[in-house]
Amino acid sequence: MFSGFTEKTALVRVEVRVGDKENIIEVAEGTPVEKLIEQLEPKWRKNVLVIVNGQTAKATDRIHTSDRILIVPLLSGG
Amino acid sequence: MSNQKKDLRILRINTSQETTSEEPVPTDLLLLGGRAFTSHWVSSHVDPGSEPLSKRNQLVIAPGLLAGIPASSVHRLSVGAKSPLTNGIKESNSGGNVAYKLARLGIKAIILEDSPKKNELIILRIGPGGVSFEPAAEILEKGTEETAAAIHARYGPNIAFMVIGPAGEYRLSTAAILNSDRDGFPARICGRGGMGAIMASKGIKAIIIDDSETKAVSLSDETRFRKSSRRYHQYLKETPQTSETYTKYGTAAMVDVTNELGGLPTRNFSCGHFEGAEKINGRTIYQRILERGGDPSHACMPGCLIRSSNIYVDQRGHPIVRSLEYETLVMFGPNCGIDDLDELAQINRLCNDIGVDSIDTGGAIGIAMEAGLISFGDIAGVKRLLEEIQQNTLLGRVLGQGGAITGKILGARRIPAVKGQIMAAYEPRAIKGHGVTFATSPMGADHTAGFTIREGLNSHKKEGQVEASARMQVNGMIYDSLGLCLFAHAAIRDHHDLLAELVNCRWGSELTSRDLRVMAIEALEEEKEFNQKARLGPSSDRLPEIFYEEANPSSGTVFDIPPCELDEIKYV
Repeated sequence: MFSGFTEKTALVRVEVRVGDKENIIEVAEGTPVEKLIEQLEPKWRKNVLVIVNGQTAKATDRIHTSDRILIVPLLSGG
Repeated sequence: MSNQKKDLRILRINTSQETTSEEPVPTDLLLLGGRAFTSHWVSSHVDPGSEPLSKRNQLVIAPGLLAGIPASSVHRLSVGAKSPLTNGIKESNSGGNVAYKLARLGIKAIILEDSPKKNELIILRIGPGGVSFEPAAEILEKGTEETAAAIHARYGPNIAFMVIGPAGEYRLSTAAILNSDRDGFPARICGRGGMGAIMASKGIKAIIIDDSETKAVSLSDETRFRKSSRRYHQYLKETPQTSETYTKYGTAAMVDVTNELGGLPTRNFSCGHFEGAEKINGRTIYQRILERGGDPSHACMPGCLIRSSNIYVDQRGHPIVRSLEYETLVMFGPNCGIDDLDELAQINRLCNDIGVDSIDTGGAIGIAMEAGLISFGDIAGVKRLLEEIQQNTLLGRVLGQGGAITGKILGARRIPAVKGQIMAAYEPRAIKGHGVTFATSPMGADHTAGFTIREGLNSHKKEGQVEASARMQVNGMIYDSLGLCLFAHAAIRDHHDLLAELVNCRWGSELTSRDLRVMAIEALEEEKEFNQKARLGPSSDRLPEIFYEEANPSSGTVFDIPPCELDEIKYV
């Protein structure tokens, strides 16, 4: 039934710690990780680790509003 | 002295007779460098049953196969022996300028054999005029900073050196060898496994390397080399980790990664998330150094583009330590409940000056905290314990024998060690691939032996971790043998053909990437065989039981990879 309002998809906050500045990006609820990565600068897209709720995410995982998401550089040692 | 392939030689030094001999390099050893060389030599020349500090052990010093060439991040140095800490075969490597200068001198390896008749330490000087044995009286029992200053005063600013601190002189099992960095400071450290104690057992306080009359290393094919090195450097420049992340934030960039995974060792490995992580992460260090006028992007070796090292300075801009890095930062930071960067830098400097491995020492003090000797977060207490080591007190000698011994003596319940060596700063219940590496690497629980986070697996789950560790242990052996910095792996990825090509341009060989893997696998198997003969067989390839039984509260996981799977690890 028409409600008079456009249905909005909830947004998911993602903390990005790659590059010069930390920032927050927002993507739609249910976005797969591989689509999320496309929001990054091209040079970073194959060089990050996406951590969702403390665990390394797969490209096909979908993210949700309740998730804590951090994107960090994929390092080779410390 | 020539560095042409035909003139390459092995320098054997008998420390009992104070004699030297130079031997040509046998053909079958020509393409073994760094760790592959040290481990092969130790396996062939040291009885696995020998006592590590006895005359039957040998200290083997070898530049990586690429050391000296005009390229970034390739001048790492390997030091190997039977370890007094693990009782197994050991290789510890570092950056700096020692390998670069040894390569220019045409020295494939230095072998320190036998033991001196007198209980006196000397300086070994290696240069264009040969080898000389020189008195060390003025630097005995001195810290490494004062030792380095005295060395420069005597030999000038352009030499490279390897030195031990008081910890080495006291024959402590966590004693390190400190190597000169590009600027001549004792800042690049072969820390793990007690190599400093072995250098002392050979009667050597310092080794001076003088390459003043040498030429650039010779290349077999300069045209091909230019093309290959251009491609190699392009990878480093185009990859944001090697051109931005490591360059700005250094190895401390890892803090955010491990903390988020629940894998940042905190309060003696009792959990994996530290509430003060933001105060010690790479970005905080970078901002602090910039504000104070230090150098956040320092190259530890000549020609390095990655420049992951730093010079951390105090409020007046005076250097405290070069460099403040992930492993030390975490082992004395979260692992000891400390989040004060300036204090951590001071603690790091003290460790370097005493000449101890900061991973094992941070682990020992974390254990002492849990056992109640001092409290977590007690900065003054940490410094007091380090001074005990410096002053060679009984307690200091206990701590200086490493975390495993300290834990036994103090009756600690949680001792995060494998083969007698404290784990590097990755919590193995949350980062299980590292747990596999810690358990199964012939090196014991090392940070460079098989870095699995890059493999992209869910680090909390056990699936695929044994295979990932095996792949990365082989990868680690390749890098350690070429003298290549592991951080370059972020850019090189699987382009091992390029690494083989660089080797071929240097040495005139015809290696393929597969050949590099075969070399690495053979070296790993040789190390395992040595350990087995030294009574470090498969039953020693285990994490402490507490990691199987007690969950890491930050990840909710235990280490659940069964021993039978660890035993079946296959290097391919």
